[in-house]
This record gives sequence, structure tokens and C-alpha cells, in this order.
Amino acid sequence: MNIKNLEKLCNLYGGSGDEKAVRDFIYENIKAYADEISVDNLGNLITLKKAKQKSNVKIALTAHMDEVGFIVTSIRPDGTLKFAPVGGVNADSVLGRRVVVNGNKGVVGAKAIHNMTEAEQKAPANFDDFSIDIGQLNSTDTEKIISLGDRVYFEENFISFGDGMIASKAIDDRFGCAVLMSLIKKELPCNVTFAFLTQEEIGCRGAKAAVLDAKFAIVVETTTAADFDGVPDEQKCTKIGGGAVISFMDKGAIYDKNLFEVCKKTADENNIKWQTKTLIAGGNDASAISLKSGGIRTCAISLPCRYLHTANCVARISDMEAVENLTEKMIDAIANLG
Amino acid sequence: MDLYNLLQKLTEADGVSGDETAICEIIAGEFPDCKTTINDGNLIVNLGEFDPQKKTVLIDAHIDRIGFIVTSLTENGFLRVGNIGKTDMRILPAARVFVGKKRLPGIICTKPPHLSDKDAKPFLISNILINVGMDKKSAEKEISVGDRVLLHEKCTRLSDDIVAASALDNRAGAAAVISAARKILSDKKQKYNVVLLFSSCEEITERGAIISAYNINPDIALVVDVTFAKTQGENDSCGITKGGPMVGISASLDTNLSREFLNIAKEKNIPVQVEIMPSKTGTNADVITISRGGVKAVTLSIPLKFMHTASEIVSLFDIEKTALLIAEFCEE
Repeated sequence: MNIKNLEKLCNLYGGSGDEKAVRDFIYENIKAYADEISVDNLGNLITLKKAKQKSNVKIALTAHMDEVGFIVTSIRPDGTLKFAPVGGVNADSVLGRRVVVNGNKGVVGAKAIHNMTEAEQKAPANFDDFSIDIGQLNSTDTEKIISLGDRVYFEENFISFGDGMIASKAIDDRFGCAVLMSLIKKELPCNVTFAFLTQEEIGCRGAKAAVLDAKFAIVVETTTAADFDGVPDEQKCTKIGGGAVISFMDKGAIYDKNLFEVCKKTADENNIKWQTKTLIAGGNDASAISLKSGGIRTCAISLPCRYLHTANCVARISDMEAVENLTEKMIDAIANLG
Repeated sequence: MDLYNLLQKLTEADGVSGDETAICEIIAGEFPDCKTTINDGNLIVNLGEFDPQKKTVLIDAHIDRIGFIVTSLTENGFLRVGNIGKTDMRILPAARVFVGKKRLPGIICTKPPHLSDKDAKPFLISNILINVGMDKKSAEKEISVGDRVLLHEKCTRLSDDIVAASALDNRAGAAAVISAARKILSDKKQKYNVVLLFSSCEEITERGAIISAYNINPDIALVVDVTFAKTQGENDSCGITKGGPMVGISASLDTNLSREFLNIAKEKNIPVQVEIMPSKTGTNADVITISRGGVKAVTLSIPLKFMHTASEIVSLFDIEKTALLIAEFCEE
């Protein structure tokens, strides 16, 4: 796993419908390896890498470029901003975070804890009670630098820590983008479409629009790990350090049974650590991709990740390597399926 | 060193209550020509020679910051912690923290949607687990029970005048006192014996102010701290950011002293705001005023947004004006 490249990807700002910075970065870094490369009307970056030898198998590899974020909805008289989430961000994990709004630094703030009634303290976190302070003291000054509709992102914060761990915003799904960027540089056994998709976080809209000329698809994603003390094993969903997550079903898709078996077998044959989810939870672009073009046989290979959709997603480098290796081996395995 | 750089230096330092020695040393370094004493996490700085004919003014700013203390390691290598000070627990889910002197990064565990219990409010200290990315065996080599845990974000300017940083409560106050002392030292005529107290443990017991006020035995005390600034949801009695320091009026403070400060402000054209605290002040003034026969005190407070989070916000203008007001009071 090229951690330096992943760090660059995670530190870019690009939410649903605003993926340009991510797309431009990927485009520049892969164009030399692509036989065909194009951007469709929804911003999907679709590239084709042809195999040297002839093969009739067509595979699509997908990852989504967008991260969760926010959008400015109004400017208050005191110069602070009201905002709403773009994608599934839980209000619980937003207060106090450093953010970037159209290039300006800001802090998500609220009334001081000291001044809240007991009832207010017990109420669920609510975006209505939060505003973003960008250091302007009135709306006139704020309006000079901020427009309604400007996007808000958690500030770039990638770190390596502990024993081979990383923490950052946007690991979901810049990790998948990093895997695709790495694999497109390799020699492949069949024609592979590398699709960097948009708008996953607001309903897999990039995947729905994308035209993918393929019979098989591998979705490279991140998925929930709740593997901490006090959580019963069956509720952990996946475990950090447990290897690549091979999906059989989630809330969006039932995966191709045969590909699921091939994926497990491929992992075992290559000594790649793998796990499945202990719950039917989450969902990803497979929900849209498996329905496309008369049906694409789809599997998902995911990175177990703690605290998804927060400013500090946490993942383990050994799991990243497992996902990357398994994805590469699965291209070979699918090519052999014919 | 300009004020922003000073603030940056002060806020980057650790010093969770009971662990203030490092920040004491940093501040002592700002006073190479003064007598400085570090005692039990408190730094005492004497400005100039003691003159028995003059009254003694103590200028207090607490230098401890809120945080956590490691209480145990779980079998999976997560940390359990206790609270030091009244941290705003709402900011903790998925927050980044730093453990011990080496500042090992950690992330506070938060449950994903499939596990979240909407009734589990507020976020309780007993439920906090810190993910340091190590198993128990590795974690035990790096981390000990009793290590402090910092909530820490880099000091940054949001605009020319507005700064966001951790521990501005009360490193902003400390910066104002240091700036005031520079002004006082550059003007040789002091009306009072001036003793600076950078005090420990305000956030938990006010112990630093209690023991140091006894040792210094002042006649007058100026307590420099932060107070609530107006922002969404706060009521109108809060201070206005960039409105100048807030001069406290309270039953527990000396009203004549408060009036004197308001008069100086008017005379010298220094913008100030009045902060009415009916009975007690919630600052070190509460304990200093009842030290050894009693001390006449006033509070000077810098408006601060988002108190006890990792990104508190203050105005440099407010800190400068606080320093100016203190200096004007101390000079002949």
C-alpha cells in the first residue's frame, strides 16, 4: 500500500457533487497508464486499461471519490454559518471539529456546556444548535468570503499512529481510490475498467449514472468495524486486523454467490487474511452496479474501518494490504472464470 | 515576540491540572531579569524590587488546562480515563487526543449507527474508550495509569484578529498578564509591588491560588481569566468578542476596585465591558479574596467562545486591551 498516496488523497477536499479536486488528482496520476480515459456528465472518471493478451472477460473495478461533508445554508448576523450535512454524518461527532469552508478555517461551535440546562445536555445532538465560526464578527464581512452553497469539510488531518494504524477524514473511500490507482499501473490479464465514481454518499448516484461495459465488478470500499470493549462479537460487524472484508449481503445488495465463494477461495489460496461481516449492515455502490447493463456480477472487498463518517476514521495498514492483494488476485481469478 | 506568537507558544504546551511544571518553565523563560519561583506547579514572578512602603498587587492567571487522566488499560489495549475539569463531553465522539508526555495519538471510540443508543446521553466519562492503535502489551510499554490526556488542536488564526486554539482557557489570560508585565517593566515607576501568579489546578480545586495567595499575602488581587462570549444560543449577559476585557462586578469582589478599573478605562480610552456576577465569580478570585485576612479583588475576563472544547476562540484585540488596562492600573 502506497501510504503517501493515500495521505494525499485523504487530505483532498471533495464531497458529493464536488469531487473535482479528487478527480483531477487521480486523472493526472493515472492518465499515463490508461488506454481510454473520460469524465462523464456526473463527474465519474471512467478509464479503460487493456490487457496485452486477448481476453473476452470484462471487469470493472470501482471506488467512490466523494467524502462526507457539509454545505452552508445561511449566514447569521454575527458572521457565523449555519450548515447541513451532505451524506450520512451523525450530529454526535461534529461539535468542536476544525473545518474548512471554501478555503477558510472554521470551528463547529455551540453554546458553552456550562450554560446548558440539564434537559439541554441530555437532548440528542442537533445541527440546529451548531454554527461554524470562521473568525468574522458580522454577516457583511462573512459574505465577502462565503456564499450560500459553499462546501464544508473536516480539516485535513491524516496521521499514522500506534502499531501500523492510520487516522484521517475521508478514508471512506479514498482508500478504494488508492487501490485502483495502484492496480491500474500493473499488467492485467483482461480488459479492466477503472471507475472512480461520484455521489456515493448521497445514494450511489454516480454509480447509477455510470456506463460500465463489464460482466463482472469489484467494488473496493470501507466498512464499519465496531470492535471495541463492551461490544458483543456479533455486533462488531468487522474487526480491525481481521483482514479484507468479503461481503455476502448488506443493506443495499445481495452479492453474487459464486463470486463470493471464488473470493474466499482466492484469499485462502494466497494466504490473504479475510473476514465477513457479522451483521447485515451498511451498503455501497454494489447496490447500483449489480443492477446495471442487464446485470453485472458484483463482489465487494472492503477495508474494516472504525468511526466511519467522522473526522477520524481509523484503519490498519495490514488490512489495507490484504484488500489490495485480494483485489489484484480476484482480477486474475475472474479472468480465469471466462 | 508578538502576541500571536506568544499565544501559540503558550497554547502548544501541555499542563493538564497537576502537571504544570513545563508550562511554568516556559513562562519563566519570558522573565529573564525577574525573580521567578516555581512551587508545586505555580510560577511566581516578582516585578522589580520589593518596596515595603507600597501595597502589593497579585496578578493571577491560571495556567492549567482541562483534560483526562488514564485510569486503566482494557484487555484489548483501549484506555479508560477520568475527567480533569469540566470538559465539554459533546465534542468527544471520534475526537483525537494525545496521551502522555510523548503525546501518543488516540481516537475516542464512537459507536456506529447500528449500535448507537439514542438514550445514552450525555456522553459519560465511564463510557469513554481511547483507541491508541496498540494491543495491551504494546500499550503498557508506552502508557501508564496517571498519564495525562490532552484534547489538543493547533493554534491557528481564523482571521487577522481571531484565534482558535486549545487551552486558551486560560493561556489567553496568561498571555495578557505577560504582555502587561512587559509594559510595566518598561515603565520604571510602579505604583505597587507587583507579583505575578501563574497558578495551578484552577480547573479542579483552585489549589494553586489558595496556597500561593497565602504565600504572597497581597493587598489587592487582579484575577485574569476567560469568560463566555456571545455566540449562538448564549444569553445577552455574555461578552462580545472584540469588545474589550470584561471588568467584573460581584458581591464577592471589591466594587470600588471594579469602579476604579472602569474609570481608568474611560480615562485612557480602553474599550471594556461590565460582567455582573451576582454572588461568586467562578474564578480564582473566589478563593483569593478570602485568603489570610481577605484580599480586595477584581476580575478581568477575556471573552471566549466554546469554553472547554479543543478549539476555543478569542480576539487578540481583547487580550491586548486587557494587558493595557492592567499596566495602566499598576503604573504611577
